[in-house]
Amino acid sequence: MEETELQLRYVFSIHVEFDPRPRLKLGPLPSGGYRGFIGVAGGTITGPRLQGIVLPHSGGDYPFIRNDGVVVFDARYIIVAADGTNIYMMNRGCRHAPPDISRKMEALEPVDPNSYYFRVTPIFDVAKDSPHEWMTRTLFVGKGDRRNGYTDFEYYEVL
Amino acid sequence: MLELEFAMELRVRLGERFHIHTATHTRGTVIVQEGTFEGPRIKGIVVPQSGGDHPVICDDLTARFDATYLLQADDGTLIFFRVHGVRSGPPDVLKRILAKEKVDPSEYYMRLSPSFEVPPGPHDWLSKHVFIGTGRRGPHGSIFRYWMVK
Repeated sequence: MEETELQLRYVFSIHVEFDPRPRLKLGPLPSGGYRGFIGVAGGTITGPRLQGIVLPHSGGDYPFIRNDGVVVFDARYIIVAADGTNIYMMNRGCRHAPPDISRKMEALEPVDPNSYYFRVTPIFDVAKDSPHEWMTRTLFVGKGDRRNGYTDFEYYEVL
Repeated sequence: MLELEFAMELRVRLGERFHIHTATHTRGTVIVQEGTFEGPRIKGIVVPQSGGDHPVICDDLTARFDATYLLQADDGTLIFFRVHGVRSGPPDVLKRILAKEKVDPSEYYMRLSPSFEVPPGPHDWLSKHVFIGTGRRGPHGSIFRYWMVK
């Protein structure tokens, strides 16, 4: 049986708030590019398949900024489901924008999320036999909307 | 909703499988022997024996893929190729897959996310997008289909 198209199903949204400080950018690195850091201050999760919070100060994003301007995410933090289950989240993916949009984003000005590319494929760790174990054996894809001080993500399950 | 654009079909022949049973998990390992890929924007070959897949296999036989190897486009460009993903399903179905029996893809869940590193040029789009896909075993090897997430 050959699939002609993958189906996506909306599962949840995560509103991630970032610490305003420290916000770092190291480089240029000997191996090329730059490394950034931004801490996760907290956040909330809503949606049909998961509700909960982003555990405050449980991690951050350590993005790698390539010489071609693409930002490669490397975010790790803990989310907590409404039933108290701790879930490790590792988010990876990339973001890039045309130069004028990039400039506005650097200046933390608002931009239309459809004017840039911001896509991620997170993975999750959670205890065996938890009601959320399905998240460890599912492929997810998400879209980010980056704002001043927070990012809103919409996640889809790849059926 | 996110839009998908079909990117390529990749067919590979894998070598012998080995397993390393650590205190924590089983690490599988298999080297890619040869293969080809083709899509609307690019086609080429899998560089023979240029890498492989080293999945972590859980107690319930869920496999977490961790593959790296090289592709080469028809214009000679070498591409570093990495894939993560998962294969899960009912234990008896997963056992049959591991025993190399013929199993209908509808009986299990196999979803992957590849990433590519390329030199600047016409294949740039591979390194600037997220991709998702599926895999299944065909009569002569494994067949993967990947879509670009627009």
